[in-house]
Amino acid sequence: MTPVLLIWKKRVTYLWKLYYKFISFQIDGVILIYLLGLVGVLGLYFKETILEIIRYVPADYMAILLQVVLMLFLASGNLTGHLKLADQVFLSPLDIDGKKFLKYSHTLNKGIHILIWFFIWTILYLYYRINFGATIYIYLTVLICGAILKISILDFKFIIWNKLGKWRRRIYNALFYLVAYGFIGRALSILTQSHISKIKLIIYLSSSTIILIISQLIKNDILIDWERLINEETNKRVRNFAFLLGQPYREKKSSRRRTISVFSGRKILPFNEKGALLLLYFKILQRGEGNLVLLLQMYFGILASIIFGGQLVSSSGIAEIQTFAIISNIFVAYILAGFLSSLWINLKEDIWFRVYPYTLKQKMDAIELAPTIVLIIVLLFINIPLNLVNKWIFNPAISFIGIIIVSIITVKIHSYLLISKLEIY
Amino acid sequence: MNLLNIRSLSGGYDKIKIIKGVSFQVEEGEIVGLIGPNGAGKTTIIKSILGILPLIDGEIKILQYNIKENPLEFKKRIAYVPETPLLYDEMTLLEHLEFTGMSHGVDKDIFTEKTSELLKLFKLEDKLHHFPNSFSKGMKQKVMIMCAFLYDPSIYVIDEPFMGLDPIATRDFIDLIRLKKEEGKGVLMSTHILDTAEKVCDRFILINYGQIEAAGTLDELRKSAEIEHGGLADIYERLAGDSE
Repeated sequence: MTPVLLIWKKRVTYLWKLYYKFISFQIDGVILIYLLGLVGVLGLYFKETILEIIRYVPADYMAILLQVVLMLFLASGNLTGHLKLADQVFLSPLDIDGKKFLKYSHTLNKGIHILIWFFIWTILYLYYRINFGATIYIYLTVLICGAILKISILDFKFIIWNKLGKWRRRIYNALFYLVAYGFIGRALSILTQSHISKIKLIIYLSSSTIILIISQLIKNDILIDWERLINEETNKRVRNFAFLLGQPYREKKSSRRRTISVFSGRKILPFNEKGALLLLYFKILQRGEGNLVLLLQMYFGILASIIFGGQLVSSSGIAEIQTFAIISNIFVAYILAGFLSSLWINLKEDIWFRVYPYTLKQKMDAIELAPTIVLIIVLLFINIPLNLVNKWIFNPAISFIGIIIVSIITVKIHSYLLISKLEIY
Repeated sequence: MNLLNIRSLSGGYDKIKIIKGVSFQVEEGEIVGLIGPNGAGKTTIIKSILGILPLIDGEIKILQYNIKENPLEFKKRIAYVPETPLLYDEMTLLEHLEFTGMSHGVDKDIFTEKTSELLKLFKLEDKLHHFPNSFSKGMKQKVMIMCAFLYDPSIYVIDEPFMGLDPIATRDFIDLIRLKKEEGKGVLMSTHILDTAEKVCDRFILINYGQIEAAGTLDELRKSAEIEHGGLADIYERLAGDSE
């Protein structure tokens, strides 16, 4: 066994154990049983409604919907190297040993992606078989071509990722998705046909194989940006564990070099001690573990669920839309306040937070004020479209006052718990 | 006048005493070098002064302010340059400087003036919107030094200040320390670079096994070590070597 393979095996075993801990932390056996029970009961209770919805949606639309699912799956995912910061030393020279290590990791990644693809396509094929009489040849063609394309797409994504220059990479990425979605979307139209001609079969197979060969040739020749790859992989992994396990991360290393002057500096914050703590908080939220992208994702997820949930609730007559809006706002505010307040936890071991001369009041004010400001803004952005969709369910002024009160109370609850954890003196 | 007064200090981790009954002072306009082998307890003394490690015994005062009774006034009068630069991944150089200035209640105009002076001195004017984590070790250390010299403390606690600095930056930093000395500030500097310490420091405290092995000016240390013409390195070798 080569030394590189040995390191790789140890690394994968170690990460597997870490992921197991990560998963087991989130899945509590009792909660899982309750959840399955609840889903089962709800499924049984709403069985007729669900079937009615499926019957109501025309088969053509359903077929397109499933095609979109397949298309999204084929274009999704990235190759992971399972790299760590110390690999710059362990796997030196990186262009020889590092590449060997990546080969094992990428093979594992591709294997997992292909297995999931087999599973998803086999299940969805049944729908096309029942509704459109899709033959076994179609199944096999899509299965094989899909697998080949999936590997090519993963390779191409890795190639683009290593392209130097942020903007050049973004442009390449956008173009790639455009071509990939177009190509896959067009190719998947065979799903609604009952059979596939031999010529088409040959064209599909040969064109996917050519794409695969091209992707392999380019990938083998690519110059890998090792430092960025190792940093980003480490940071991503650490961020995931840190966020969901609620632990501070020490392994993280930033690959960010600079920003433009508009985004640098305190701007409107007061030039005093409280302003300093707020500056620290907002910058961590914007660029660090708070992760503005994560907050935006949460925002859109919450907005969509409230809008659809509200429509469902009001049409079912279970509750008034106003009642639903109030309950969901409080619920969302509580969860978001928890997330926003938790950013202070990492400061427990921060030297400057402890060494610099802040009064207890300044610390407590900042701990409460910073998440409250963000929470009010997020809740406003959730409620404005919500009210516009539902033709102002509340008076705008009442909504605004309500949001401020809810934000202050929920952040206060979390801050109270946090301050005792932080042992601030 | 005593700026920093440490009396019978015992400190360490989890009730395990690493430093035992250490007492010394740093006077106004004085640079004191804290020297000693690895693991002697220098960093523990510094951490105790900063309030990062709780005191097991003894007393630490800056002017009349006791670390236990008046921690806020105590902290206001201290500036710290750590051995390993402690920077935030999420903040640019400008934001680090602003954060420090704001935390110490520096006036905005003075901040602008001092920042431009320090940026010029350490040749970092074009890095203002860069993230210091992309800097070299020496540049990171410069950021830490700039942060410490932005405000007006009574005493500077500096841990291994010359690590990673290029010769010109080292010279500029020494000039800066001397300037502060002339202004009547105190400097407590822990270092292994004995040649430079010999030129910069007025007095030395040799720590070994958590206790003061010897203290005084270079001449006084020579007498303790019974060396007539030796430098600090020779004295260190004799005193630290003898006790091992």
